[in-house]
Amino acid sequence: MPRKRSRKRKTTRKKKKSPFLRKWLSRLLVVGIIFGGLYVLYLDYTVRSQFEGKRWSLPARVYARPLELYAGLTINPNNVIREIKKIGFQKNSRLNTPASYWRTGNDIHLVTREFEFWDGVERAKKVSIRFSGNEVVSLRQHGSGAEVDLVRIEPVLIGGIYPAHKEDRLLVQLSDTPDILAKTLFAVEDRDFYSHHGVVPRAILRAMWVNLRAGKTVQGGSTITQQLVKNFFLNRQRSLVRKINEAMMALLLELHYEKEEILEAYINEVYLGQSGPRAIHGFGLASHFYFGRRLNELNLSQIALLAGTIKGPSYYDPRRHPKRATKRRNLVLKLMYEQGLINKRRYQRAKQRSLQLVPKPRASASEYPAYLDLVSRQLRRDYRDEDLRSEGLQIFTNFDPHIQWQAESSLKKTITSLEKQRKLPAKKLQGAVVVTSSDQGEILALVGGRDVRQGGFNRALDAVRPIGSLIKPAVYLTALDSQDYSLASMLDDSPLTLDLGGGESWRPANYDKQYHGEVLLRDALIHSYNVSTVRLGLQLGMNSIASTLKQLGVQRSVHRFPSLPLGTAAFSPIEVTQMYQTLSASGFRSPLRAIREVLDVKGTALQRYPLTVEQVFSPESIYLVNSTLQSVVEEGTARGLKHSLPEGMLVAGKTGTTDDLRDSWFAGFTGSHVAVVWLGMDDNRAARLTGASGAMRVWGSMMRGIHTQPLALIPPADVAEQWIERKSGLRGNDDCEDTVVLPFIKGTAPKQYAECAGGAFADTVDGFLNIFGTDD
Amino acid sequence: MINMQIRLIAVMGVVLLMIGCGSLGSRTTPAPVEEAGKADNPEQRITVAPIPATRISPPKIALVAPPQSGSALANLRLSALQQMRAGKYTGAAATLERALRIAPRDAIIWQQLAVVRLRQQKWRLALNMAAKSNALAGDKRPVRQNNWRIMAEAYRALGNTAKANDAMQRAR
Repeated sequence: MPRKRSRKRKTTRKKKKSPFLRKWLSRLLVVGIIFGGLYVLYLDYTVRSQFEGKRWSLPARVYARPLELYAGLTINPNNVIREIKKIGFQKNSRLNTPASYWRTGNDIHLVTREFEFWDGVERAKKVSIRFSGNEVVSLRQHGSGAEVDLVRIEPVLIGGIYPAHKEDRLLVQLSDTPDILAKTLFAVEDRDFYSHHGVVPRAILRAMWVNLRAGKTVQGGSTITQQLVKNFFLNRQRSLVRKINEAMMALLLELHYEKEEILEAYINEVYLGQSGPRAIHGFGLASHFYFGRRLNELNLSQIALLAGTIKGPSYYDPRRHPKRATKRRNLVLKLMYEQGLINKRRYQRAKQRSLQLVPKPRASASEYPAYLDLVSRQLRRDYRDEDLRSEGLQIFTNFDPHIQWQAESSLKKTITSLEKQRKLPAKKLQGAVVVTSSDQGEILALVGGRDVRQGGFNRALDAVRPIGSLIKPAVYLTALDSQDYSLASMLDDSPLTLDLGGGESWRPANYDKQYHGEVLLRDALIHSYNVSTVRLGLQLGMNSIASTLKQLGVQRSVHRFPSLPLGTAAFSPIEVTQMYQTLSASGFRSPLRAIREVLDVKGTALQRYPLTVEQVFSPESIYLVNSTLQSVVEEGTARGLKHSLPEGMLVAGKTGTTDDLRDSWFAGFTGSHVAVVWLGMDDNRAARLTGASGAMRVWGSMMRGIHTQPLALIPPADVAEQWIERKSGLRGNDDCEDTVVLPFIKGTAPKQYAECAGGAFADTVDGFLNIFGTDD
Repeated sequence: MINMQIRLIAVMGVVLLMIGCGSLGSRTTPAPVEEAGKADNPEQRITVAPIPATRISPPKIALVAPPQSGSALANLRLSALQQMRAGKYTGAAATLERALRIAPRDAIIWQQLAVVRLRQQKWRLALNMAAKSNALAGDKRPVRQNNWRIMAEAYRALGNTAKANDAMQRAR
């Protein structure tokens, strides 16, 4: 009974509550619709905002200087070939494809690609370059034979500044892709692309059925749109919710955008390979990654290979699994043939082809990590790190591949041979090289250590080491620029004891452990005498030497102890390079620059880093220093260098060695290049090398290998030469035993004659002649 | 009422979007490059007011040995000249820098660069470029004279009459 009652009660209650429940249910439904709608709205917003905004974080791409070819250029033809191969040029005797070359005897024939530079588009050209040895003698249009004055070849890509997630891609526009690419993608991935609305339920059901029967996933029912959504908006996890999201977003994407836009995004988004930490996305980059070519230069079988790779870039990696990849490619080709995209002949031919791969590019961000490090540091002054990693900036630099290769190989070879010869501990000796152009201060090459491909500690920028005698030109320039001294001034190189206070004293010594008495100022520099240099420094004052260093372009402040003139101040190789650049450019300082121009992703110029010069010393004072530095190589501490340079290659330079042979330096310049080399140990132990036995050998070997101009110093109008007797520093003549011809700024030459040249008598005659207006 | 609902939906939508964006972290749109807006056209970046005729007399500085076509160097100088005539000074400077890479010690190219900088009213740079040209000119008198004229004009613009006069003296 109670049961019945209760049931009755229940039914009555039910009856009673029915409208109430219905009310709640309908409210729930409304809320559900609102939330469902909101969710769709949210998905819609996600799809649209991301599809319309910046779709991808694009790394900044860093380019070398473009190679400019013209009649009269000195360049090794092998280097031209090596460089164009780096840009993907391929041998082709018919010269009927872009980026192809052919070499016959003294000629290199080229078909260049169009390239957009900072100052406009360089059109594609077909040219023949005739060489005579290492000189370009003529440049002609291939075919017509018309003379061409200048050809600028697209620059080598030397690296990228990548986003944190390391996705890399090279955007392409659909209009720039070969037609067959889209057709191939439809054939392989989505036959109904142009007729569906983003999702094909029939295909999904079919895939489900096939997968169920197989017990695993063997078929995907995803359209190109769904694949794009999956890669673009969603994470990789597989779940029903994600599947639903994917389908809804695919529908929304199709609702808002044209098929072409979706296809273009897909072509740029799809993941196609891996290079170390760097993920290769999109067909544009993949075509460079696998074939070293631009996408529109690929042939049928290459396109089929890429299209086939989508299914599993790791599984079908053509480099690791060539057989598997070939099989897959041929399957794609077969599909294309069956669907009537290609005829039987093309199918058969494409099937027969090899994979045509280029060797795998290096996995690191750059082959030239030290230079790239310099570029990104200079960029960080003007751009935010985030922008560098995402805006797809194009950075054009002064990097010269030929000089870089030469600098790298010279450093590596010399270090290895030094280790062997001198029985140094293995793999300990380190080094750095900086090369710039003399007059413009453009940084052409940079080596940051013996393992040239390895990043990390960039010694060219960060190894701050005492520079030893490399500082001396600044000391002597201070003296000569004051005009209180001339190259013929006599300096005292006898023993010197300095009281440092607190009962301590310092006795500077010469490298040869001897004292040389009274010496000519120029001889003290040529032979790098320490004692006389310290005395000179004390007379000049440390402040004036410090100020000269600053004028020469060294920003770092230095100590003011009496040992400053011996280079106990520490600089990095690049700082030393700036100092010598100013000397090499006749006293016109140009801030060292790695970057020429920055363009945005569309090729619009954002910034240019122009050539600037500032005259910081008179050409006269610099001429005196430079001609002395030239004598350093002729007869001084660097005379060993002469033998390793070609006949007639005049250079100026200075060796530097620090206490206990810890650092070996050489800084010098030719008529067109400045280079600084440092060798030493990272832990500051003795490298047991002098400047001449270590760094100078790298310098010589490098300069021998690059095309540089001999240093032809132009004497300024206010400079005249005069015979000087070495012993006295007075005017000499043929009768004197040991004389030297020295340049003088007018009014600073000694007027007195040396004993050997007639002494006081000659002075009188000279004075007498002067009355009649004869001038020296 | 309907309006209210729409507003509600909109507000909730925004909230949801904010939540959604947070979870999509890495795809957020970064700020554009700072310099982007300035340089749609490279020439616009350095805005050069035309030199008022009253203040500075029309260019007395004619280029020594006007470039003739033929060699790479001559053609670069020629196109720099055309760029100068069109008022594209930044482009002209870039073209002359290309020429300098071929012939870094050519006093005439340095001089042409000095003229470009003069036209841009970059007086200090023009001065230094002309001095550099002088240091390389050796005994080429016409080149030197022209450089002194450039320097005179730059000094005058900088208000240094004494040095301007001195430079004019040397230009004779």
